[in-house]
Amino acid sequence: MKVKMKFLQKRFFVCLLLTVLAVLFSACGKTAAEMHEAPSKASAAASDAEASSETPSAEPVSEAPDEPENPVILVDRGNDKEYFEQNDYFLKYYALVYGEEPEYEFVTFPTASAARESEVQHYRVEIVAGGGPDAFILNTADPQLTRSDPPTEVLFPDVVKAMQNQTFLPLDDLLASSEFYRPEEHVAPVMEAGKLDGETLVLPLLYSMNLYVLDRDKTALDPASFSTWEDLSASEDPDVANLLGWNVSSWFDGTFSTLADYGALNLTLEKDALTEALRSVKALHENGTYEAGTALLAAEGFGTKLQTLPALRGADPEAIFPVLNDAGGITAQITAFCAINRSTAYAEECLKLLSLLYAEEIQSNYGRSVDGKYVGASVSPTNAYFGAVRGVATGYASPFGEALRPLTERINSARFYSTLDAALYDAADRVTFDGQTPEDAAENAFEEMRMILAE
Amino acid sequence: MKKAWHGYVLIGPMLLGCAVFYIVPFFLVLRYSFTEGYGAGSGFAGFDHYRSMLENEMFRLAFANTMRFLAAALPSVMVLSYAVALLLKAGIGGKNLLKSVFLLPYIMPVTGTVMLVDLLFTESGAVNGALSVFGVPAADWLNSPQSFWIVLLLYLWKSTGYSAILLLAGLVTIPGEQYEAAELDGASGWQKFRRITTPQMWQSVFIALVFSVINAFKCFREIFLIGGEHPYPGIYMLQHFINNSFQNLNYARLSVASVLLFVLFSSVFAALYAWIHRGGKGDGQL
Repeated sequence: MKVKMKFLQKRFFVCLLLTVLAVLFSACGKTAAEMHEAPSKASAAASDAEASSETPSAEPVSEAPDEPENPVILVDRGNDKEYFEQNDYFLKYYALVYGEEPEYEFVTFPTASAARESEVQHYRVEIVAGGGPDAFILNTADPQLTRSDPPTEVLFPDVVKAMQNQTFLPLDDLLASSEFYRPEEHVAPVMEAGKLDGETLVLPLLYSMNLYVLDRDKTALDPASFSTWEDLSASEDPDVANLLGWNVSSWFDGTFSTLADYGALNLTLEKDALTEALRSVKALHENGTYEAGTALLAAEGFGTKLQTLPALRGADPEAIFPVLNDAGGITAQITAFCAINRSTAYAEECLKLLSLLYAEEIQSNYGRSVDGKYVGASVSPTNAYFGAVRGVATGYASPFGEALRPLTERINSARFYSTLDAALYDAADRVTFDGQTPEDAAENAFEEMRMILAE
Repeated sequence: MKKAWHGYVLIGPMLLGCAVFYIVPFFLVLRYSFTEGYGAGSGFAGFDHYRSMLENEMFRLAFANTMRFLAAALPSVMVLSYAVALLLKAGIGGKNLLKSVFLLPYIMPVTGTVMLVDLLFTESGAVNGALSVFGVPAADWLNSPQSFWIVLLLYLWKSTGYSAILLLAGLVTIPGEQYEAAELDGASGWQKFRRITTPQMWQSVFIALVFSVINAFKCFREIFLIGGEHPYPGIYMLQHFINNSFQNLNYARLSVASVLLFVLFSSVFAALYAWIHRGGKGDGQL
């Protein structure tokens, strides 16, 4: 009897243990599902009565179902509210052009730094496991993003390496039938940057050039008198130091036409050239003066990149001062791109959407007027970037066209922002603000770039 | 054997978890190390990845640095922790208090440790401040060849206490009568240590060694926070290489690195384990 009781007791406790474990596992399963639901739950942009009557039947963003039926597009532009308000116009434009409602799910990253980093890791794991979003519309690793406080993590720190690792789908066959994609109308070096071994894998969307707009009342500096970066760095004109000595790290990487040969895994930048360049920027920074009133800046804004676009309206083209590279031209640095995941099952659907980003109305930023409202006017708050440049390339009427045309013709190199540029950004910062010697900064940057490339 | 199934049922959930979270992923990693590309587009690549990995400059640098670190750190931590364990056993200086003091670095948060290293070894740190009194110019210690020794010191400071506790657990199990008997026979301290303590400590030494290796790899967190993704080349470890390969979505590369590391350490630990248990003596006596 005692033996039997003992046996029954054991059975009872074993069953109890199994029951408890089963309950725990099922609870964990629910928690995992909740944690991996869509990162953005923004509702469709339909805040006013007029818009609500024209709201497309497809929601711009919805919770990603466990098994998505529509292609998932990962977007990385602006914050949620801003993007989706813009996105509504883009989707309306899609409906206008194709005559059908768009059926896509747009997901984006959280704005909070820690949550964004976690989401980026999540997508990386999905991609290497053969899944992930079907297509991407993303930022590149612009140091002004990745070195901000707090830093912004990007999904592909080096787009070229991602291309080499077969992350993206080859697009040439799909693009052959696209009515919107006309690469010959764009800046050739920029479009070439999206190719690997002659095959198009990535479509550059936005790029920036380093330039200033001179205030002609304050300086007689003539941009045409400088042919290369060496001319600029060797100039003894104090206006050059006043202009360039401020915010050196934002334009320093653009003074190099090439950094690396990704095929051979070699740096094309030489350490001596880097050291010399850092000595020049240190001198520029030390010799420049930045008091209000002496700044050689346009009245409406300042600095490099195309943030000066408002100031370019009607600007005298000869007042635009580009920061030249070592090959006598301008380096275009690609800040945003789109591509299709190699593992996608919706290649044609994705390309239908992505190629629309090259449509005239989108590129020119003018959009198309429909019942008094402009649709397709932009896909992001920074539409002015490619809107202006595209307009220049084709001669399309644009408020910025004439001012920028000569400059886009001087673009002789283009690359995606990457961790290599960040190393140069850091070197310039250390030399100008941390007091590090150019030799030490060059040594550290060169070693870091060599390591980045060789990995 | 009849009642053995009870035990298997009870450890079943743990075995299942082990299989799901360790064994299955390991075989997936092994598979990825032989494939090219992701998902449906992947194909068999044979030993191409292994070949290119062995030719990769950064992998060789990371591997060499990691082996150099382990070669310096493991003997040092074992000797130090053994000495500390012997001192604790002898009851010198307040056993319980010392145990807590020695364990404090181990439980200190990583960010606290990194802040301490920054306070000491950056260009404006305390070390440069102290050296400037003697006219020595300030140096960026964390970006110099000395960074290796700083990391080693950090590891010893953090891990000695933990290993000492593990060894102390072994020391206290040795019966005191054996030492008394040896003393009666006129054995010296060294003879007692060599003939009584050491043979009975091999199991504990092996366990402490395994945990020391684990802690050595955990040191990567501090190195990462100090030096970033690409620190000074002298402290660029295998985890940096694997971490950066993941960021670049080069899963094949990081899979190969993981497999090679697993093979290396499995071989070393298997050889060590066999040596400790040689001659069929399960208690680890030589």
